[in-house]
Amino acid sequence: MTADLAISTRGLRKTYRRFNLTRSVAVEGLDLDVPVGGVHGFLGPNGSGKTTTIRMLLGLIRADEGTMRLFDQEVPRALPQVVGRVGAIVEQPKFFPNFSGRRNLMLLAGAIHADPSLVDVVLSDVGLADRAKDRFRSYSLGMKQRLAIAATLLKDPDLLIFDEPTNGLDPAGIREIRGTMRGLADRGKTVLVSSHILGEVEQVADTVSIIARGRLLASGRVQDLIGASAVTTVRVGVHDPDAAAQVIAARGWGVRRDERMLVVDGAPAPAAITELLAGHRLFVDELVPVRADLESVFLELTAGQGPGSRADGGEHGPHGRRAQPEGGAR
Amino acid sequence: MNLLRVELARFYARVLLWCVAVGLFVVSGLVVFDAWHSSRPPSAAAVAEAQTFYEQQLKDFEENGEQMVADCKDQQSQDPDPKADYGCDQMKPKLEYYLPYTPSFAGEGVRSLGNISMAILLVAGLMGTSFVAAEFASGAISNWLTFAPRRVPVFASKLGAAFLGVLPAVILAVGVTAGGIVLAYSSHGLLDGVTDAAWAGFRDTSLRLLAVGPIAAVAGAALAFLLRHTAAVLGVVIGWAVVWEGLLRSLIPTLQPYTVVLDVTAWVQGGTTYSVEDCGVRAPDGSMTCEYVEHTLHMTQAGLQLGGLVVVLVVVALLVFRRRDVA
Repeated sequence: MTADLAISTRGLRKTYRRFNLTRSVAVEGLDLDVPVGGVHGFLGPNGSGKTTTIRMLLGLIRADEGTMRLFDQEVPRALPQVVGRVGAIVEQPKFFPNFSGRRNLMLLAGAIHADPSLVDVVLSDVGLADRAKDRFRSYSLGMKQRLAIAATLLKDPDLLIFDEPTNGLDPAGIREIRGTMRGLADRGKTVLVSSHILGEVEQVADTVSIIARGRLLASGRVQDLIGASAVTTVRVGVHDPDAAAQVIAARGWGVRRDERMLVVDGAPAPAAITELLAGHRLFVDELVPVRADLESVFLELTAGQGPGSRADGGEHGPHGRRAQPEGGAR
Repeated sequence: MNLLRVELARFYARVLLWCVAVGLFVVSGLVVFDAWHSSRPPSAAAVAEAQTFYEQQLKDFEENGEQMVADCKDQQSQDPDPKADYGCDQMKPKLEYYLPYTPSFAGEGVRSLGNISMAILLVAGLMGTSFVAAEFASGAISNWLTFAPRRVPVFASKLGAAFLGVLPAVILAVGVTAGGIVLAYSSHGLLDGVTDAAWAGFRDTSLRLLAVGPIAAVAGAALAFLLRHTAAVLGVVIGWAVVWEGLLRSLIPTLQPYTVVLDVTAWVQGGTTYSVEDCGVRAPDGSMTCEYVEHTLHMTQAGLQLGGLVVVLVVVALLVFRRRDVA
């Protein structure tokens, strides 16, 4: 354990008892490292154990096995000491529905000895000053999310945990939340955002961890993970696509027609395609490497790992795959 | 203390609790009205009617009284119980036999104060239940625990807030009821000659009533920690009332001293009595006879049983809350 990790778990395990007395595994030996600073995406299909992991970190549920540390302090034992540095929104924002947003925050401020005047400040920060006296239940989902963010800001935390923060939000709301997370990270905070929507995480995250069936599959910087992906797709323009397709297929690479272009999968590099085709006097007019994105990495890693599939951790072992390019994970 | 202060602020911010408190005051008013109504002196018409009837009965007694007393004594002598007293010497009519009954402050006045006890029990219990269950039902407890993760202080602060929070409403309700009863009896001139012992009994009943509210609130809050929904708590309470307080109490009368209703009554009134049917072969001819035997439930026993029940509830609720996952 080093001090440059905001979150670290080792061998974390949690099972739930079902009504039929059997147990389902929610988290299975999870090793998770979240570096200090920046936005860390915590990705996985629905039911993969993201929320359970976050709840265990916050002391809301008990881990069956394993260790957890927040800022190098073991939790839940040291949670009272470290909780002031952690702000969290777990799933949907949950406040007293019949109290105003302001009264809800006043109660939370009272619990942590925060200056009551700070409540109005954070409400203004999230753009809720005008609706502060309205009941929480009258808020839109976006306003509820903003109130939850305001609540986390009461602590001026070093680590913010957002669990599926954009669920149910409209595009403007999603963009707003994304901007908020990026802004917090730019101010030196550590932001952990769990999501199953890859596009939004890719736009804002510096590092990611991908889990499925409670196990870590991969972690590291976004660009490194994308670079480490085995998927290499290239769109090829050539004057005789049928002949070119036969040559490429004979080499054992995947190929399919997309109108007048060929889409080639599995080639080690774009240059290998030009070299192969030139050897058959087929000259390339156009060569466009299709950049892998986080979604393709995610789908590759989590194939067959959704709810109901076998919990064997895939081919990546219990500790998953870690991208180790220059610099490695921050 | 900080958590307790915040929890009290939340307690008093809840509109539902104010509505319930108003309901308690309405019940207080009804108890006072009932005390005033039942302590009214008889009207002139009722007195005149009683006088007429008394004179008729007296005339009848003067004509036939000797024979009536002789018949009475004859029947008494035939009773197998040598101690049987048919009251044959008191058969001469008296005017007071025919006048409407006038309650006394020391008797009915003090007892009518106890009529508010069940309302306090239910209202304070509901306040405590709703206060805690609302937090679980809305999910706000998970948010709260991310700000105050120590569960024992969180638990203690919520129970403490329930205990202290209901006090003003209970004090006001008991004050209104006690003051109203005194005024009602005073307005009918029934306080003359009330002994110091009667006043002390009235004061002690009032003080014991005050204890019922906060303890009920704590019990309600503990149940809410266990069941997490007001509806679930109400369901359990209704189920308890039907099965234990009603059904089993009827089937097994010896369970009566272990029912909440009788315990609260005994606690508030400084002790109470209950009857248990006792059947056996006692007659010389070998036939089975049944009689109701009156038992006393002492205030101390009732208080210990109620206190023990609440302590068990609180301890179980704390153990469960400490270990339970919060969704």
